[in-house]
Amino acid sequence: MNLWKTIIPVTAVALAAVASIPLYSSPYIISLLFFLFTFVGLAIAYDIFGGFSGYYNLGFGAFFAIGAYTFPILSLGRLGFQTHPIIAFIAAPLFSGVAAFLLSYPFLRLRGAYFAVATFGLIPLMYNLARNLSTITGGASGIQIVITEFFGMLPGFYIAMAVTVAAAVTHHLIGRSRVGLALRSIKEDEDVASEYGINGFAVKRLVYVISGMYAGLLGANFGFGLGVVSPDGVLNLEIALAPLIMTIFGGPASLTGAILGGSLITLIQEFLWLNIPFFHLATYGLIILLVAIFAPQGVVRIRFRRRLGRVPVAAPLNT
Amino acid sequence: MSVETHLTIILGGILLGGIYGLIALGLTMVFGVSRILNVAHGDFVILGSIFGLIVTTLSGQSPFLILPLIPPLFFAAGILFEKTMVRRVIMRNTENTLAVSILATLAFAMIVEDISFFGLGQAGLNYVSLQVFLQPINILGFIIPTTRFISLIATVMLALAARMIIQSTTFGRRLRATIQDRELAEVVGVNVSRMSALSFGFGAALAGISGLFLAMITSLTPFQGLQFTVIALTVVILGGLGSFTGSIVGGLVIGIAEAYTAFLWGTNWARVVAIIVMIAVLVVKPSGIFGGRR
Repeated sequence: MNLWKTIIPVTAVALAAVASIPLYSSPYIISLLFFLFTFVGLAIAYDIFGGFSGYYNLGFGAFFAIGAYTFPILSLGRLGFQTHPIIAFIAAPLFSGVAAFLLSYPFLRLRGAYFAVATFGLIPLMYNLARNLSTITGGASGIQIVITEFFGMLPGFYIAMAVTVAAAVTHHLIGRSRVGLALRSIKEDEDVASEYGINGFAVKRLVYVISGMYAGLLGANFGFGLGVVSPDGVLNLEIALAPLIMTIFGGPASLTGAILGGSLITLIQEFLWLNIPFFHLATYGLIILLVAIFAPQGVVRIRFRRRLGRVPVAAPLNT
Repeated sequence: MSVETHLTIILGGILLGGIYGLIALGLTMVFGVSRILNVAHGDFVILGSIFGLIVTTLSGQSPFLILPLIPPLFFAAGILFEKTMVRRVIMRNTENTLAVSILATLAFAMIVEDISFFGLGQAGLNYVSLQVFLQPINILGFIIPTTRFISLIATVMLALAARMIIQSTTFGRRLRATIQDRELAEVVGVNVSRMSALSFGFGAALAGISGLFLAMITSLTPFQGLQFTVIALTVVILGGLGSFTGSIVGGLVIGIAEAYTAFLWGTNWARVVAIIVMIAVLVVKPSGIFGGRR
């Protein structure tokens, strides 16, 4: 516990330092921090379900999008009634949570690749719904959120930071709780876990909903910060698959991994967008390929593996 | 709606669905044999159409005539993909093959899509289209567009041929054995790693042909590669992962559903319906229509 006595104050000081950055820096830095915290938060939220349980939730971006759309749809009265922005902001994660709860019935009964493949379908589903329901969602051009002194990047950054810290605490608590233990045993062997009395479906659903709610909250904040929510803005595959790439890059089922993966991938993408006129998608792909080759367990586990040496592992032939 | 309208929609749906079925067949074969989720599968479809575009532009021939070129070339490309990407990258570590296969093939898809988009842009093109205009034929009073009709027949024949290869040849038997039980197949003398390479070759060849057909009936952009992967995955989930009959039937179900949706509510709703059908099937039967074990 001595370690925690140092980690908590150090983290608090670091966060306070980051929170003070907008006081003396340019709008570019604020927007960069906004994206950074949004994506680190998404990576952590993804990892709460995907990392611990070993399920690859390729449809995670759908919950992000539901949150992103719920906020302007409710606060701008797209459905015929207008709610207070704060209520709309609170409703966003709830809607994502309800969607996750309902979608758990078709999806969480699937395992392994089946789950990954089926949830992937949610991204084009949401994308096409967002484009087609144009009276509600504004179609391809999306919804503009009028930026006043209340809205915008700066409060968005603080909210993203707060949500990310909350997600990190949740990740930590779940990792140490019985639920986390149950998820790890599900990752090892779901059938054996259920033999030992773990209600796999209920545990997975609980965490799936929590993970989806954080995504919804960050989604609402994303639209709020950018001032526009459009299908190509919140549902493109780069954003939808970013949390998955980030957690594998950093190392799944690890808070450090999610934070590291989230920040490194965001910074790499930012660097590529700024410095490479052509082929930034290809370059990004090349970087991911290098990760898959050299750090398939995530960057946080590179050193660990070297120290242990290559442990001969029997190949699971029919998994 | 009149009978002709229904017939036109259903024939269009069978054509589209047959093509989807062929794409899905390759994907499910690759997954069944090597347990690798190939996210870049749809990019072989796009590469097929781009290859068709290049050859037809250079030679001035009809796309139907260059069709025989695609299977051997794409078969070789698929085997090359397996020998490099799969062997050298994905199979390097045995612990989380699924995650690494998603990551590596996604990265490959990004690279291929970006480069082919750039290449097309250099040629002054935004999309790939090989639409050929032949005189429509008239059968029993129905006006049938010839290109679509020939594509339909070719697709159905290809699906039947693929099914025959899988059901009746030694290769097909070995392939099914590998899918059912990799270890046992190895015990009875099936060269499993060779099967893996062949399945990638077979899958890529089917995807390449599908790409050529798709380019003949619609226009494609390089960034649709992942979209076709998703369609193929929807079909595969619908039919049952690892089931060949399931992919063809699933493809037809999705194709006809899309054709009806496109007619009733417009093409932009077609994709939504396909995925909703998939989710509905998953609620009722999680293993898919023809799926055995999950």
